[in-house]
Amino acid sequence: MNPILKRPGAAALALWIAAFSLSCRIGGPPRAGVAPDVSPSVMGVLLAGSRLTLGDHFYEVADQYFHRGVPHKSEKFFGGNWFQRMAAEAAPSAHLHLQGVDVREMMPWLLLSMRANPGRAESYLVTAFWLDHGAGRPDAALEVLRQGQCEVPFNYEIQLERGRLLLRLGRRGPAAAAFDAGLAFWPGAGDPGGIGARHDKAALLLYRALLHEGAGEREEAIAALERILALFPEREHLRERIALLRSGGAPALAAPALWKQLLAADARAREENTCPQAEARDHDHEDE
Amino acid sequence: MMRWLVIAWAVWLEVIRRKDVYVLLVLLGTLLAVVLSLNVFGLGGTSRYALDVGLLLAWVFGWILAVTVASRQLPDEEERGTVFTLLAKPVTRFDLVMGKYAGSWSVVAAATASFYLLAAGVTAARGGRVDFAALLQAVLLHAVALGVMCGLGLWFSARLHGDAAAALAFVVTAAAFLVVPRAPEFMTRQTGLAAAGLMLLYHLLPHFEVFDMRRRVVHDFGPAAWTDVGLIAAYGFALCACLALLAWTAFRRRRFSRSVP
Repeated sequence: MNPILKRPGAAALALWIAAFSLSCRIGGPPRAGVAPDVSPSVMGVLLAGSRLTLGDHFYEVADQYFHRGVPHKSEKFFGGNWFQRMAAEAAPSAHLHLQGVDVREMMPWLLLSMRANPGRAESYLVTAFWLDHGAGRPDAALEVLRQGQCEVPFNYEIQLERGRLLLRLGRRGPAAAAFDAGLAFWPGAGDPGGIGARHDKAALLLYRALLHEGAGEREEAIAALERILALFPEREHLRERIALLRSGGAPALAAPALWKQLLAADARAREENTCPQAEARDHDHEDE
Repeated sequence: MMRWLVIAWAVWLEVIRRKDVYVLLVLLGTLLAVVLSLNVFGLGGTSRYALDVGLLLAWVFGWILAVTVASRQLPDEEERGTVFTLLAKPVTRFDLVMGKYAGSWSVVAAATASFYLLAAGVTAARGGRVDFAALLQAVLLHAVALGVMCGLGLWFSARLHGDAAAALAFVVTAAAFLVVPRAPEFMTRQTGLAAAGLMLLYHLLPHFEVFDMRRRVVHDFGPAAWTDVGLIAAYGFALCACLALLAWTAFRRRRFSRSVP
């Protein structure tokens, strides 16, 4: 008798393992411009495509942690009945955010999100921002952005974040290189006409202009400011600065002081606008 | 009442002998150790996620225990033939059902409380803050929810084979966990028969979401008002009483097979 027929269970198991291995091999997401990963992680092999969904879920959990466990709001056919009131009592939904060092509590989920879905740039950006501003660990933030750069190459947003962080740490040279890389990678997969992408490009150009100005490279600074004006002609104050630079005069606010103000304002705006009104409405908060 | 307690104690002994609870406790400890071994950028003081995972596992393990323990009680007695010995004594079918219910509910609730203690202990040891008043409320309401799960398992097993009863109880409880709380959301995208079906499920199945206080404990919102906890518990006890009655009604008409050894 055929040995396979003698042990159909073993044969079925072997076939299943072969099919599972094959599905893991072909199930991974292709990444444009990157050579295939020759040493994928055990998690990557085991979970294959489903890890992307898992990564998105972990990112969502991190967002919920930032909102003290409050999930995103969803439209309901009916509301306010006894069960819904009691469920809200069991699991409250006050509009609160993690503050200060408490933001560390969402870091495990962001870390898992990055590991499960390494191709999601947003995870690196959010993690790096809160590591720097919440946990006070710019070194860890830089490392996260370095990982992001490896996993999502040619992403201008990661370069913009790196540039900001390096500039805040006073490392002007690497910061300038990061902004230059960001400008080279812009817009990437994004829409060049989109308002967000245009604002990001303007930010890259502004930081780059200020660094040129700080280094005494006036012509390069003027060129960068003019490129911002081409994007946003309504920014009249830039014309005054260009005129001042052309005339050889010193601006009232020197470049280093200005970029410090910009970095602080930028961080403040991002902290405050992490849950702007539109997003706050998007969460199931019971009291605003 | 004494007869119920004796039968309930027999359930405890059986569960202790089977060692299911120890296995789940060790598994929970191992999984928590794995979760805590995660190096979160070298940051200290991150413990909330461990409590979150621990409480989630307490719910999953409690659910598995409740359904499997309750669903096998009556069919096992019949399969072993011990049901005839039991019913030959001054033990009524009502006593048997209630004793089995009390035994499975209490042993599962005790096991789940130990899961909570382990998760909270690990979190506290890690330096995390655990509000023990909120934790107590969470354990109490979870215990009531386990009573509903045990009641479902026992009711189905009064008429079905143990495995079939467990499978059906798993399906019903999973639907109650996953579909019922989100039915109002799903209904915005459904019309006609599907929407009516969702509405029926919403009102027919138990609302386990009202017993789930994990978010309150994990995100440190403090204890809920005791009046609300009492109301939720009263809803749970009403469901338990209803399920016990259904289990007894089904079991009192049960005809046992005489072909068992």
